Amino acid sequence: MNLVNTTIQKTSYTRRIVIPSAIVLVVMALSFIVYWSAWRIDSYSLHRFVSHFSAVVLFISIGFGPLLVYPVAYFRGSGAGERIYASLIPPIIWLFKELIRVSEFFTFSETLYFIFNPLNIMIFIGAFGLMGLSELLCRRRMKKRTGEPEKVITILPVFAMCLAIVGLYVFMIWGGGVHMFYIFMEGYKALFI
Amino acid sequence: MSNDPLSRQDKSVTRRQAIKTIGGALAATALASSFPNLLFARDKRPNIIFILSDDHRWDMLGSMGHPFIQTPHMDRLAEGGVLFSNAFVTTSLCSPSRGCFITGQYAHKHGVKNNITPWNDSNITFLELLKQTGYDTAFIGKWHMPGKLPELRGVDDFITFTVQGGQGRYYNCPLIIDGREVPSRKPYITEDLTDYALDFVSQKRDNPFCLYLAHKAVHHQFLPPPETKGMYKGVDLNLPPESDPWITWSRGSIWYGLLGPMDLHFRMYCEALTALDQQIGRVLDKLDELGIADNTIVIYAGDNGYFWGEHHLVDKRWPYEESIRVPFIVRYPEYIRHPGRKAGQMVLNIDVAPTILDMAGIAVPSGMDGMSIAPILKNPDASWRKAWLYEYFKDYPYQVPEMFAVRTDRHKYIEYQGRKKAELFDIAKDPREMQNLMNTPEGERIQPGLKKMLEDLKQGGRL
Repeated sequence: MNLVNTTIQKTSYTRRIVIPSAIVLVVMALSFIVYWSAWRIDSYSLHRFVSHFSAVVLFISIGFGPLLVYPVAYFRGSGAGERIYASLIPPIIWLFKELIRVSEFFTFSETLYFIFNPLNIMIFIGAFGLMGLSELLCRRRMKKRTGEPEKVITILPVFAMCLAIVGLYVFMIWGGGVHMFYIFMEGYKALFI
Repeated sequence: MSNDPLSRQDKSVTRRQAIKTIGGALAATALASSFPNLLFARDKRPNIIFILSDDHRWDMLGSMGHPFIQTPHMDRLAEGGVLFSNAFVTTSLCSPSRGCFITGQYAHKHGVKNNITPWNDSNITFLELLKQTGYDTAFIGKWHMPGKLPELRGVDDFITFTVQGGQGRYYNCPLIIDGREVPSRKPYITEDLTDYALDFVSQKRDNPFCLYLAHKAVHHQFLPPPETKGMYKGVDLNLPPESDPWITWSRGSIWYGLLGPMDLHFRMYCEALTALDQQIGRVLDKLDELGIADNTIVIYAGDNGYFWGEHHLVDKRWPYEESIRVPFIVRYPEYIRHPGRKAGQMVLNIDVAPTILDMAGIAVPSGMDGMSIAPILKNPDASWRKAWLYEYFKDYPYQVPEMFAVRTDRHKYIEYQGRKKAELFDIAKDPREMQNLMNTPEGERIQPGLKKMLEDLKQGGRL
């Protein structure tokens, strides 16, 4: 982690935190708007193409944003804490948007409980895994660039990646995600019914 | 006295026959006084088989003119009976709709408003009422009402499943029989449940029977058996123009578990449906084999419809036609006039219970909201309801607002709770419900009357 501070000049807060997050957020917003407008296109094949393309970009921006934000923040001199929260800004804003949307249907406390649904948890566990991967890739690149004998692989980023893999299995693959869904629903029943 | 030998012989035979008849009658009287059941053993009331499928929408039938789906046995049922082309559910969701079928009541009355609120054991089912009048009864298949499995009153054989929140599994689904879990006898659930159903139907009995056969198919995950797997590969699926494969990920639809290409899911749905049709064919064949088809009422219905991209939606719940409209077929050869016809009257899931009771000669309890469709079976032109109430209640975490709607022969008016604005559609002019007439001159003219109807129906009125 100290590698960054010693070899990369720290840029302004806007350049190292706001801009990387904003890039992902703008992509997310644009792809969202394009996807939900695609049905207006009369040509069926063009509609299919635009909806496919925008949906894929939207999905990537939600699920894989840290792969962009984290390295950009890294090479602009952000510390570890800054890199983490910069990477979390897009999924947090997406989650906030989702909470506003579902608040139409649920009570305030149900809306809060919605934060803990398996999909949201997976997005954040996945984000930490991607941050771990990004950290390793950035260190490797820095090591090549500077030639300094810093350790590339350390326990924390590897742990984050392992956590994401376990999370992927538990939340998405185990029973096709159904088991965790029922656990989430049992919690709901215990709290609200 | 005639000299004709034949005539004499006739008379002598007649005397003998008379003696035999008198003797027989005396013997029968003596037996009857001792064993009355022997004389009146055969109860001629109809047998009843109610087959309920899951998520089978109204137009996915060969007999409804679907371009490629193969449902020869459901079509056979329709050819021998009446196909109701305007059949609906009053709540488009598994548990509430199942509650409606079995009680003849709206969800707000039987209490299973969503997939969470528990079944109330004080609810009276048509099976219970049939049992009280001497029917042998069985419930086989998907119960899926929230809460613990009930001690279903009036049910002789209760065979169901509880895995995956009561949804069951397509393969190797353990069953609960008389409260004990047993492994599946056949790997594929539709065939396994049908085997149990055939066992029940084939039992030697003196009483009429009622079988409630509720399949898991064709609910998500739409897994077909090997026999039908891949049979619709390469077929043009004809999905709606607004459909795209990412609908299953968007606006909360990810909760419905249809990740992956929608085309693939839809093909599997069709394959699982044809497999269900094959098993229905086995039931019909068994009735023919036993020689009881003419005196057996067979009702086939779906518990709700399903979106395949229409309105940019998947699953059900919403009040649009794809979701609320279901297949509904009644066959009863001894009773139905002009079999093989389609009936356009708006029949509902809550009509099944009163219909079955009515046709079994049992008084329909006043607490039932539905109406017997027996008059339509006799008379194609029978007058019928003009409007009915649709209701949907919150079902966490699915993101569909609570709503009430009124559906008439021509219009549909929907009021949502929350931020979503009311909608009004002219079904006759706009069957795909793409043009909301609210805030148009036509809408302003029609809406007050529909709103009044909706309020009347919510107060428990019938229109």
